[in-house]
Amino acid sequence: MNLDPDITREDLQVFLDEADEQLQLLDENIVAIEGQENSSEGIQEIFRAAHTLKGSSAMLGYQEMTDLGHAMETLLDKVRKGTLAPTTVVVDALLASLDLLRELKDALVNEPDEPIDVTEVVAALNSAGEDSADAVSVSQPETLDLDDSATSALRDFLAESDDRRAVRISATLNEQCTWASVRWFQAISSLETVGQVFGTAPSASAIEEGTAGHNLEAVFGSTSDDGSIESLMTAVEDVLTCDVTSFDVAEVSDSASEPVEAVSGRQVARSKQGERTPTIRVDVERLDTLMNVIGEMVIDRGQLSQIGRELEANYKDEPLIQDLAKTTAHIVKVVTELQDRVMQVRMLPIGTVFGGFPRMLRDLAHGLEKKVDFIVDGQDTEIDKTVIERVRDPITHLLRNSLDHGLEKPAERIAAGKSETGSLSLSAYQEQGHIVVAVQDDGRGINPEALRASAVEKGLITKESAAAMSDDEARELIFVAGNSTAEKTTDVSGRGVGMDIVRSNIEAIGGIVNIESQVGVGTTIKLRLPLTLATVQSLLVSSDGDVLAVPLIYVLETRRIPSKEIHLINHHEVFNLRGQVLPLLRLRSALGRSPQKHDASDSDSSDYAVVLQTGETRIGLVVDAVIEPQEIVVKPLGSYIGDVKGITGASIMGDGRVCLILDVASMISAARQQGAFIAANAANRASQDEQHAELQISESQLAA
Amino acid sequence: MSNEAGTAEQQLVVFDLSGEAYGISIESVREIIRLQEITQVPRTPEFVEGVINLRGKVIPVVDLRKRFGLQERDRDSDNRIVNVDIGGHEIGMVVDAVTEVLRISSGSVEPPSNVITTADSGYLRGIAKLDNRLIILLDLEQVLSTDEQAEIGEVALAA
Repeated sequence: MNLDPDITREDLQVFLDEADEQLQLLDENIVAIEGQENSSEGIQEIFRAAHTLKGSSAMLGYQEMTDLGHAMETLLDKVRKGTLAPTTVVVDALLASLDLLRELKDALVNEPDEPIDVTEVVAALNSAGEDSADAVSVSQPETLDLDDSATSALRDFLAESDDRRAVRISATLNEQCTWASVRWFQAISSLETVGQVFGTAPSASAIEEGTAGHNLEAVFGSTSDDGSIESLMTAVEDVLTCDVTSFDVAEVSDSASEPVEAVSGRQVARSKQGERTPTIRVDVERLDTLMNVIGEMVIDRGQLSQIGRELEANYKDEPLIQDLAKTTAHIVKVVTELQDRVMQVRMLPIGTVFGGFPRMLRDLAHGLEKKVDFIVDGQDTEIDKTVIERVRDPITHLLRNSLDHGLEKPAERIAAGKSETGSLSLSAYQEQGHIVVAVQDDGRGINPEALRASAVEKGLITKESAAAMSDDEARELIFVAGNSTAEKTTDVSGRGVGMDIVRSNIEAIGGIVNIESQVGVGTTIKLRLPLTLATVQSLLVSSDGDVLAVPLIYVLETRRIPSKEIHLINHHEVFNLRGQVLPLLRLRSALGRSPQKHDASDSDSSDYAVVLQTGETRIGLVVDAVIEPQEIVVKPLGSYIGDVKGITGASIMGDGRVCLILDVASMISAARQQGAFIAANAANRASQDEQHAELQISESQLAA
Repeated sequence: MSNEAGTAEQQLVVFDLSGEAYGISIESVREIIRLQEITQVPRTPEFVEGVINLRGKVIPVVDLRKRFGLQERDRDSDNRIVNVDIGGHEIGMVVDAVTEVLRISSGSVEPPSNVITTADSGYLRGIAKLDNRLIILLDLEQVLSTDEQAEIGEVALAA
C-alpha cells in the first residue's frame, strides 16, 4: 500500500483507534438490518461508519480502504433511501466487506507480503446494489448558503466596522491532491488569521471527517482586498484556482436545502462533536493506578474509622475528639464517594462484548443448518472493564455450545412439537450487587443420565458415585474436564474442553456458574459476576485467631450450630439444615491445619457455619466466629509465595492486619474430591425415601 | 557485586542471628522495621512466616532462623524485619537484631570454600575478616531462591 509519506505514527494510531470503533459499529449493526425494511437507525449507523472509514482512510491515502468504503457507502445509500431492500445478498456483501476492512486495518500494522485485493468485494457490493433503479451517490452541496445564525453573525461582524466586507471564495484543488480535506483545513486556518469564516461548503464537519472534495466555497469576512485573499488561498499547497467575489448578505436565502454549519473562530476542528457529550481517551493504566491509590485510601478509611471509634469510646467528653469524629466521618464519606466515582469511570456497558455475537451466531447457524432467533437484552448493564475482558471468551463458548448442542435442527424441533426456529437469548442484569449474565436456549436440555454414563465410561468417576449423585449434581459433571456428551465432535464444540474452562475462568474472577436445565425444554446457564475486581464484598470470619475473608457472592446464610447437632456420616461431619443434610467443612482443616481435638464431652459448645453455595453444591464452612461483612481491597500474595491452594489473595483490614481471602470454589471442589458430598447425598436420598415410606404407611393405614 | 575489584569498598548491613554476624549488601536493603503482627499463610514452606502489611502492600516474610535450620527462640524487642529487594520482589526477613552498617574493603572478603564446606554453603558469598571478628556475607538470591522454595513447597505438600 502507498500511504501518504507525511503520516506520522500518531496519525496512524488515531486512525487505528477510530477504525476499531467504526468496525465495532458495523459489526453490531449489519446483522441486525437483515430483512428489516424499517431499521433506518441501524442503516444510518452503518452508513455513517462506512462513511467515516472512507473519509479517514482517504486522509491517510489508503486507497484500497477508501475504494471499499465508497462501494459500501453507495450500496448503503440505496438501502437508506429505500430503493434497495436489505436482503441476504446485501447483508452478505456487507459482511464480506467488514471482514475485508478488518484485514485492511490489520495490514496497516502487520504489513503482509501480499497486497490485499478489494476488487472482488467491491464488485460484489456493486452487483448487490444493481437491482435497484438509479444509483445515487453522495454528493457534496455545490453552492453555499448561510443558515440563520451564521447570517446574523456575519451581519454583526460587518456592523462593527465600515472597513469590513464579506466575500464569497470559490477555490479548486489540483486533481492529483489526495489531501483535499487537509488542504481546505489549512486554507480556512490561514484565512482566519486575517478575518473570520462564516460558512463553508463542504461543511466544516465534512472537512474534519476528511470527506471534502476538490472544490470549496466559503463566505469570508475581513478588511482584506480580493487580491490578498486570493494570494492567501493560493499560498496553500495544491490550491489551483481561487475566485473571490463580493458577498451580499441580502442574497442569503432562508430556504437552504442543506444548511451550512456556522463556523467561527477555531471551532472548525470539532464542530461535529456538538451533540455528543465531550469525551477524552484515557490510558487504562492510568485508571488502574488511580484505582490502586484509592484502594490505599479505602484501607486507611477502615483504619481511620476504627481509631475514631476507639477514641470516642475512651474520651467521650473531649471536644477535640468530637471534632475529630466529625471530620473522620466526613472523610470516610468522601473516600467512599471517590471510590464509587472512580469505579464508575472504569465501568463499560457489557454490550461492548455482545456486539460480535449476532454475527458469530448467524454464521454458525448457517453452517449447522439450524434456525435461531437470537435475543439480546440488558446491553447497557455496566460492569468493570477488567471483568468485561475476562467474560468475552466464556460467553462466546456458552453461546456456541447452546447453538451446537442445545438447539435442535428444524426437523427435530418440529417432531418435538416446538417451533422450527430455536430461541437463544443472552441477557445481563444487576442483582444484589452482582451482575448476572444468562444464556438461555429452548433446546433439548442437558441429560444428567448421559453425563453420568459418559463420566463413568471415561473413568472420571466410579459407577457408585455416579449413582449416588443427584440430577443437579450430575449436571455439574459437564464442568469436569474431558467430559462431553456431544455425540460427535465438531469444530464448534464437543471436545469436552470448554465448560471446565468456562467455569475456571469465571471462578478466577470471583464469579459463579449456575446451570438450570430440563430435558426437552431447554437450558439456562447463569454467570454471576462481581461488579469489579478491585474490591470484594466479603464476610469476615475467624478461625484459630486468624481473620479470613469469605467472598459474599458465595454466602447463603450463617448460623450457629451446637456441637451436639453435628453428625457423622462415613467419617464426614454433616448438619441437618431444615431437613437437608448439609456437609460440613472445618475451615481449620480446609487450610491444611491439624484438626483440633474434638471434645465430644463438651456437648454444650457450638460453632458457626457459613452456608456456601457454588452451582448446585452447598456446604457449611465451620468457623469459630462470624465477624462482619466488609468491602475489602484485593491484594495479590505476590509471586514469591505464589499460588496457595484455598487462598485467592490477601487484604488489609481496618486495624492494619493482613487477612487472607478464601478461594471458596477450590475449597469446595477439594471437599468434593474427598467424598464429602456423596455421603450427604446418600443421606438426603435415604431421608427422602424414608419420608416416602412413611407417607405410604400412613396412606395404607388410612386405607385399612 | 563482584568481590574481585580489589580495594573497592562495599557497605554492609550487619545483623545477628543466633550469635553470628551476617552481612548483606546495603543496596538490596529497602528498610528495616520492627516486628509486627504476621499473618500466617497456609500450605507454604515452613520458613515462610507469613505476610505483613507494609504501608498498604502485602509483603511475604521469611524467618531466617528457620531458613538456616537454627533453633527457634522467643521473639523480643530486638527482633527486626529486614525488608530486601530481590529481583524486584520485596521480601521481609526476620532476624534477631540489626547491629550496624559497616564499610569494608573487598580485599578483606574471602570466598566461602576456604572457610566452610557444608551443604548450605550455597547461601554464602564469602566471609569478611575484620580486626577481631568474622562476618558471614549472604547471597540473598540463594537464601530466598524461589527454585528451592518450590522444591521445599513440593516436599511440604507431599508430606
